Amino acid sequence: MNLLHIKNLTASIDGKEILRGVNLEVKPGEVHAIMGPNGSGKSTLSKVIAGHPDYEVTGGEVIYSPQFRPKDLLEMEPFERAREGIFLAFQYPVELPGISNELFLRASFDEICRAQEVPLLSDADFHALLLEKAKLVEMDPSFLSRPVNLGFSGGEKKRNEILQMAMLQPRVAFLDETDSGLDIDSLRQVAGGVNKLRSSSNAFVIITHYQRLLNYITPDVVHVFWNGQIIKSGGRELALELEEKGYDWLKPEAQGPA
Amino acid sequence: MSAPLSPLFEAAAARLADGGNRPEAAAALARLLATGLPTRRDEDWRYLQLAPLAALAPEAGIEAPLPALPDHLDGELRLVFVDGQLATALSSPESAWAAWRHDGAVAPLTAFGELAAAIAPAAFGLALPAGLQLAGPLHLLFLHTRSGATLSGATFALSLGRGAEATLVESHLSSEGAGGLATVAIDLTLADGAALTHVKFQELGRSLSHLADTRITSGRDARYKSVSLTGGALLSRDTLAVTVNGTGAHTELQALFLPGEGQTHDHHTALDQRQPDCTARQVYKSILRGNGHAIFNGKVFVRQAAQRTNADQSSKSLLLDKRCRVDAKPQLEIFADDVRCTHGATVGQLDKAELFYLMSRAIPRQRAEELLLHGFAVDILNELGHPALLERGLALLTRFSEA
Repeated sequence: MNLLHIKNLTASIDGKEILRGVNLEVKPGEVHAIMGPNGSGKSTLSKVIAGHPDYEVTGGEVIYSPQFRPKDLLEMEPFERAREGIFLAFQYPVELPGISNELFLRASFDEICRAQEVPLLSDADFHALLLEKAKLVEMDPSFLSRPVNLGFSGGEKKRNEILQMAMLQPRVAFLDETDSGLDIDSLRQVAGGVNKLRSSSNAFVIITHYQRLLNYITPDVVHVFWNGQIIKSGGRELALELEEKGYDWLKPEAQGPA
Repeated sequence: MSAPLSPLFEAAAARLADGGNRPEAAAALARLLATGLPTRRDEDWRYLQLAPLAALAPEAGIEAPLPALPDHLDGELRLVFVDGQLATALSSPESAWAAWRHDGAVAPLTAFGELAAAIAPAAFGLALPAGLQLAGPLHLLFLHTRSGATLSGATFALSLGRGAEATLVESHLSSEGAGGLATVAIDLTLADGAALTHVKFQELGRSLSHLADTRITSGRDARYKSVSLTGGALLSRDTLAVTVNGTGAHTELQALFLPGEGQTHDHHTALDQRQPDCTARQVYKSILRGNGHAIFNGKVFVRQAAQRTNADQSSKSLLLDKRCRVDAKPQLEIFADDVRCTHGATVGQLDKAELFYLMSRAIPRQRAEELLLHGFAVDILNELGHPALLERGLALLTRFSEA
């Protein structure tokens, strides 16, 4: 059974159509990579899945089936999607002045515990768990008491996204260009975090320009996104082919029948 | 003296007589009668609806049970004023403070302060001797218990001798349904090297109007820090003036004001730097809801003698509704040439990107807004220092964000 099934999804922003019929099936345990040129709409897909209010869904459907219970994802509020295990690692993580990382994660973690009917942790147990997860993404504990993302470097912000993912244990995580702007060490740390979180019950959709992140995280399926659609899907080797040849050779195919 | 007095002034004259015509109270009433109450034509009062206050015909009102007192007062030094009158039964035993008692004359800043001085049942003041370090906070509670169009006034004077240190926590609380006009005038004097942290909680009910004068005079190397939280009342006006008379003094003024539907919160401050090598920092923040109205006017005077003054002022407002209104006006008058003075005012709304980020992490909208309000206000709340006060400040903010 699919964990996430996107059917012929179309969406627009300010009346401009960005997604033009996206089809994607994600099963538990899978890692998907979505690659494509700038402006192809791949980031939009992740925002629409998370419920970003700027985008209007104009057609199609998204069936999300946590614990084999299908739900209409598009009917859910952003916070409900997150409660049910949808996660978006932001391309540009937002700074939250005056809100410490720990307070933020506590608020978020508690909501998810309540929604999933898991007992809340004591302050001490929560802090211990947070330290453990910070270690997983090689983040200095001093970042936990700092305001969320404020004054963080690009790499620190991205690692902070992975820390949130590690704490919230999502079922489907979209990573929106998490590798962009990272140096090689940060890339390794971020990828290491993702690899440690992979399991047979969750799934990842990694959106990226470059195949270099895929040297560290091995995808099961690679998709090529162009002009608001997935125009080609293949195995790991497709990413290498794209790295070598670029995207242009695929474009004529997109004109033909799907 | 041909025109008949307004009911308000007539009531003030009667209170003065009841109080035994104390000379300083009589002088205050004379000044008040000479100037009258301000109107909207006065620049410093132009945003306030004062006509209903001037037209008030004071009633005795009906007494209601006392409001619940904050639970962090146990064992701490406190003075409780009920409708302007010192309530010895509710206050710490006289033996705890009698040695510091002094005549308590105040020099009000505004006509409403004069009104407070004229009608206060008694003048009350404490003088902390040089070198005294007050262990816990000194609580000053002003309780309002009477419903109806009541009028009350209270004054308090506190002086700190050389090197004395204290924390003063001023609370304004009311019983369910208490109404009318509540005036207060407070004078704080810091001798050389003295340090005072002054916290104010204005948590009055929505039928009361609160008009407060606070006059501070600082000596050499004195440190005065004010943290003022304004949550209640229909109309709330704080007029605060600091005169810095000594070199090396430091002044810190902070406020968080939270006007909601129907409320007006006005903070007028004046910082008068008269001596060289002083520092000052002022941060006034407001969060507004409904048709709430926030007013901030911050004057800073740097006299010619006040070389090397280093003063920052900032005012920030967060508007949660389209109908809120902010009037913020910094006013710097600098006569010295070697100074560093900054000021800035910002007015904004909740950031949509921040809200979505929080919601994308499973946090419902209401809680996400609460977190953002907390993030906006936390630097002021952290200045409260004491954990029990911080908790009380957080509770005030939570009540506002859940309203």
